[in-house]
Amino acid sequence: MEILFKNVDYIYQPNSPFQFKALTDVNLKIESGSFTAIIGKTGSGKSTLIRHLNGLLKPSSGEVKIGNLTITSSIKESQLSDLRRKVGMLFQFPEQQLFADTVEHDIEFGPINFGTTKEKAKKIARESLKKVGLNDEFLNRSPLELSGGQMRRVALAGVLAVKPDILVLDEPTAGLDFIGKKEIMKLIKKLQLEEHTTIILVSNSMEDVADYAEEVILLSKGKVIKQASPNKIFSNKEITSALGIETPQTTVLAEFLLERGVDFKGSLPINEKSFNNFLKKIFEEKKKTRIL
Amino acid sequence: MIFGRYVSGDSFIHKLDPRDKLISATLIIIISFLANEPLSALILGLICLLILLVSKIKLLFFFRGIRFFLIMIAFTAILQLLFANNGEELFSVGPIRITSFGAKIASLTFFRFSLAIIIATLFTLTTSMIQISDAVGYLIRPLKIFKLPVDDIVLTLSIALRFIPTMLQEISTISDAQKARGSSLNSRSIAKKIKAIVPILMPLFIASVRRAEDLATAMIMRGYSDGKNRTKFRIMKWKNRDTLIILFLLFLLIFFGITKK
Ligand SMILES: Nc1ncnc2c1ncn2[C@@H]1O[C@H](COP(=O)(O)OP(=O)(O)OP(=O)(O)O)[C@@H](O)[C@H]1O
Ligand SMILES: [Mg+2]
Repeated sequence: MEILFKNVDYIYQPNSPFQFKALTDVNLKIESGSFTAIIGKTGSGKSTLIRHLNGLLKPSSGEVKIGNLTITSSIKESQLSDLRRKVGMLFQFPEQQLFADTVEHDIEFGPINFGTTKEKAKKIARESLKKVGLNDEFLNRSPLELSGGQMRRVALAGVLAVKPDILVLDEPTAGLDFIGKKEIMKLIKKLQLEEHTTIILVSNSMEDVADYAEEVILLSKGKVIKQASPNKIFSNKEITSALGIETPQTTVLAEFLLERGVDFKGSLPINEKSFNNFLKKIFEEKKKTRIL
Repeated sequence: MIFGRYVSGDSFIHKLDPRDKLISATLIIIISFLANEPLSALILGLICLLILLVSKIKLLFFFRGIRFFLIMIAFTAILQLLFANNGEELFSVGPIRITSFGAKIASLTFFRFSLAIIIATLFTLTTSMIQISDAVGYLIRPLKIFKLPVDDIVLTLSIALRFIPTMLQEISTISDAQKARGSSLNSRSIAKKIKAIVPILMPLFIASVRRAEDLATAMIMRGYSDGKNRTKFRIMKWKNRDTLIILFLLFLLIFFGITKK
């Protein structure tokens, strides 16, 4: 399902002293099956933007199109239930949302709400748990006795259980250890490649964005500053430094080398793979100059 | 809903001592029960309007915020108007008699309860949670003679008030998360609605217990033992204007008390 934002404004608590315009004239297009990252400083409106993807927030003006459903400020809650089944959403710190007595029941919550039978939900719970890298032993444990990382996985399993076409993740790896982060990111990438799930990832880790995303949406103060490939975003020094956006470690390292007099022309590397190419090119240049 | 919320500002009303505001709000509500004729009601109404204007709170925002209460009060008043039977008859429509007595108690009900709501809302809109708990803490201090653990009560109160906004925030994120998983919170059926509440209350409850534990640990680690003889970080300053306001209200109270028929 393709996602389209047309002139979307969003105002929190309109007509009160707490009124706050969190999104201003947002226009964007996210292709079906793509992996899109949303980045921006804290308070830039990332969480507000993604809450529009399943109708938790409705645009104050403008419209959001998801597949063939158009969401405007006047849409009714009853028209959104189908959308909620198709768009899975993992919120910031999702371990907060666990409530059931066992992991199994918590994962079954989504499928049962969307009309799956009890037996089928049971099967789905098992499968989803496996997908997030936890074995069957966890099914009967209380979600409250798990570690933070395990809770995060259970929450993700609860979202995957609904088999969403679009998966939205709000900083899914914040606060996890290095290996935990890598596993979750790999799992998400796998969902995109194997099940053609559209992935929308809010992230503060520029390394993750550079490694996994195909498209980046850069937000600042509720406005879309740029939508482009990670390569284009991170190599655009004007934008990244003006907005105080970090660049991936590899880009920083490459810049450092250039400052020290290494000769290189072309776009800077943003992840391990492109860094290897970067080094290769530099050495090839060196060899050529030595031969001459 | 704006009752219980705080809008920061620097108006005269915002700057008054919170103890003064708490006492004055209480006094005005007491006075409203003495004011039972048009002139005294008018005076009191004007005082409220004056406070509202001086506090620089937007009128539209204010009245929209308390609209629900005003409608409920009006509804009650209309019932009284329709069903009070004694007193002389003003006019009648079919079986319904509108009497002078009914008209009087209906207007009094409306006046008193709306005034109480307006004043209480104004108080919380212009006084932060921290200030309210400081003021309450100060005013209940005399109860120490009765061996009441006043310091602990104040601490509990201020922690509770401090975490109300946090909990409201949590309720909204958790209910978003459950709605995203298809919870039927917005369903028409009451049974479904009630069923959808557990997945929201459970995590909220768990989070609160966790937070209480963390907070207690942090307080003990930082050397908190009990509330006794602690120096105050925020100091409330009682000014002459605070005394004047209280005196004025006391004067009104006595005056209305004496002239009451
Ligand atoms: N309920 C609300 N009422 C008023 N303003 C709000 C509300 N919720 C969020 N905001 C404001 O909207 C802006 C955008 O918030 P949002 O949560 O979308 O930011 P974010 O980009 O997700 O930040 P973070 O990286 O910290 O999660 C913030 O400035 C915030 O203060
Ligand atoms: Mg956010």
